[in-house]
Parts: sequence; structure tokens; C-alpha cells
Amino acid sequence: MLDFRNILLDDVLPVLLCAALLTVTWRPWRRATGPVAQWATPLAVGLAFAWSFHSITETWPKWPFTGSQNAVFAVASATALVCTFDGLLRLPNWLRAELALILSAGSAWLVFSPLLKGAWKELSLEGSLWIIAIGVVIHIAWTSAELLATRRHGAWMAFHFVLLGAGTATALGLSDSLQLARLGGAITATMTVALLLGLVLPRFSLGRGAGVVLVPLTVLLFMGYHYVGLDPWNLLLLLVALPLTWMVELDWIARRKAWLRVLLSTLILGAPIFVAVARAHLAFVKVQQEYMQGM
Amino acid sequence: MLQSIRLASVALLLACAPAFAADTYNIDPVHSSIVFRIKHLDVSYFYGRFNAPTGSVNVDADATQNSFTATVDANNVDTAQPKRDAHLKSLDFFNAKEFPTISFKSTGVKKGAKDNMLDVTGDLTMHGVTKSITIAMEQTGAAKTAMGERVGFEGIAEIKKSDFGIKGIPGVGDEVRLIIDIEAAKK
Repeated sequence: MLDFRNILLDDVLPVLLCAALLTVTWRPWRRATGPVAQWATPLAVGLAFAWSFHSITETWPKWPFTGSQNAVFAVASATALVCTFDGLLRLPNWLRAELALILSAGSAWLVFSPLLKGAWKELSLEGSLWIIAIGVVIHIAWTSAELLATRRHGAWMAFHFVLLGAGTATALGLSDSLQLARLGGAITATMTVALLLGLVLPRFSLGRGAGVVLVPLTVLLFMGYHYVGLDPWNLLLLLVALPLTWMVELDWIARRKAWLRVLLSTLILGAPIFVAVARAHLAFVKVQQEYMQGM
Repeated sequence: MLQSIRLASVALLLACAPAFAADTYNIDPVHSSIVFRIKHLDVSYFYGRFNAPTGSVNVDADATQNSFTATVDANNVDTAQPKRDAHLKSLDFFNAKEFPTISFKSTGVKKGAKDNMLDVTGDLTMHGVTKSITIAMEQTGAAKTAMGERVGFEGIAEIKKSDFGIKGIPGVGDEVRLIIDIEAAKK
């Protein structure tokens, strides 16, 4: 059971840190016409997540990692670092692509390669294919989210991440891992700050910082499937929700009034997330009922 | 001449030594239990078990020369509640997909508090971490039975799950009591 202290240390204080760091960029975002201060979001989210991670796991991971959840810390930190430098130095596109590719592949390897010695021992080919596939999905999710975030300013991307993060965290919590759920919840909590900032500052953009949310979230989703009891259909539904952000770019939605545009996009985006959470909830209740009837 | 006879006798005794070596017994997974006890919400103790342990026991005439090895699959955790079992196997606790095996190998045995007691020190590997622990082990019996020659031991050890990198979830205690009951059959 989580108590007030857990929520305060895992979420509230890191969110306040995130908010404090993001307010530094308040003025530039208000004045600027082009992309500015894109280093701030990955830095703020990265630091807040590191704090949450430490509070949730009560440890700072040491190399070599014992337990894959510790590798999530490395993945989130490396992504935050790359995104911060990218936002600060405006790295050339070819270098960004290379870095994203290396980080996506590295993340998949770091988090899932321990299974090659454990559950995948007899299935090394299948395991290797899984790692490659996960790396590809992370890369696609990262680059597509970044691309859309540079086109869509305001609160839309942060709203998408809050929706996706909350759905992921809830589904993970109902699928046998409170720890992964709390880590997903921590990322979601930081995005609420970006969401509020986006509502107040229409020019605010996650832009080059989108990866700092998408990469750990995608990793957590796959961990839910491979390390805990996330149902394959629920994994698929939540993965389908990743590219659905692009719906907002569709002509028949983009032409509508603002409120209708948001409503339609939210319904389309929220549908697979809602179904995944509902399925996880029903499966949870079913197991409990079956057990009680068997008593 | 007498000296030669003495030397020959010693040599003969040494040559015969393997005949008095330890007997090896295999742990019977059906009649052995590994039970754990942990505090819940700092209110009550909760019990669970690991089914089907395997391994072996070497029983020597000199009990301090005994040795013990035991292995259990982390996926065999059983608390009589399937959802909780799945949670215990998840990476919140044992992370059974990454670390499917829990093992113990004794490194030294000392006489215990009573005649039939032993303090068995050894390496417990769990959740990818190896730590030295000491088990207060009692020989509970040894007999020729209808199922062959068998020995029995019961051990109790106290460990901390955090020592093995297991975080768990809020409300579940850190200190774990292991109660190990072994029935082993002679090879």
C-alpha cells in the first residue's frame, strides 16, 4: 500500500523540482517565435525522474546492474542527457539520428539482454529478435514523437504523454508490478507540469525533449510484457496509442474548431488506452473472483 | 620390522579411507519444504513456500564435514493466491524471468548449540546477489525406511530481502525467516 509519504517523495516533490526548472524557461517561451529553451524539458524531466526512481527503488543503481529495473534509470538518464545537449547545442540532424539509433538499440539491449541468461536461455534467437524489435519500436516512437512535437506547440504532446503514461502505469499496476507502475506514474507526473505550461504558453514545445518521456515509457511497456504479467493484447493496444498522436494532423480533424479537434483527437487516442486499462482491470478482478470461488 | 608393520597399517587405513567417506543423499522434492515468513503491514506474519527444492546432502560420520547444496526455481513460489504468486515472481520481488534460480551451497559446518544441531554457513544466491548466511540446522532423523535410507534436517535462517536487492512494495517487511525442511534419500 502506498501512503502519503510515498506519493510525496515519488511524485509531488519531483514534480515541484520539474516545475521549478521549467519556470526558468517561462520568459523565453513567452517571447520567442521560434524553438527556444528546448534543453529545459529533458533536463527537468530527467532530474525529476531520477529523484522519483531513487525514492521508489530506494537505491542508486550501480554498474553492473542487478535487476532490469535499474537499467531503466540508465536509459532515462542517457536519453535526458542526449536530449538536453541536443536542445542546448542544436545538434545536426545526422548526429541526432545516429544518437537516437544508438540509444534505442542500447536501451533495448541493456534492459532485455539479462533475459538471454534467464527466461530466454533456450530461446536465444527469439530473444535476440525481440531485442532488435524493441530497439526499432523505441527508435520509431522517439523520432516520430519528436517530429510531431516540433510541429505541434502548446499542450497537445504533453497531454498525449499524460494520457499514455497514466494508461501505461495503471495497466502495469494491474498486471503484477507496482514498481513499474510507480515509475510510469512518475514520468506521467512530470508531464502534468509540461501540460500546464503548454496551456498557458501556446508556443511551448517539447520538441527535442520528447524522447525523454517516450523512451522510458516504451521500455516500461515492454518490461511489463516480458518481466511481469502485461497481457500481449494490452501491450499492443498501448503501443498502437503511440502513433495515434498523429491523428491531430489529419485534415478532417485539423480543419475543425479547436474544442472539437481536441475532443476528437482525445477520443481516438484514448480509445486503445481505455480498452487496455479496462482489459487489465477485468483480468485482475476475474483472477480474484476465481480464487474466492475456489476457496 | 615393527616399524614397517606400523607404516603398512597406516597406509592400509589411508587406502581404506574412501570406504568411510560421506554418504550422498539427494533431496526429495516431494517431501521437502522451504517456507518463508515475512511481516505484512507491520501487523502480522505471512507465510509462503517454494515447492520442489532439489539438491544434495553429504552426511559424514563427523557432522562438521557435512555439506549441503540446494536449488529451487523462483517460479515455484506458492502462497495459495495466484495473483500474489504472479506478483512475487514479477520484478517487484524475485524477478523470476531474469533470476529463475535460487541456490544455496554450504561453505562450512560447525557444531551447534545442541548435539544434533549444526551451524551451516554457506552462500545463498537469490535475485542475482550472493550473500553468506548461517542456518541453524537440526538433524531431525535418519532411518532405513520403505522408501530407502533417508535423512532429515530442519534449518532456520534469518535474512533481509534488501540485502539481495529485493525492494518489494510498501507494507511488506524486510526481514525474512526461512524454515527449511529437507528429506533426502541415499543415492
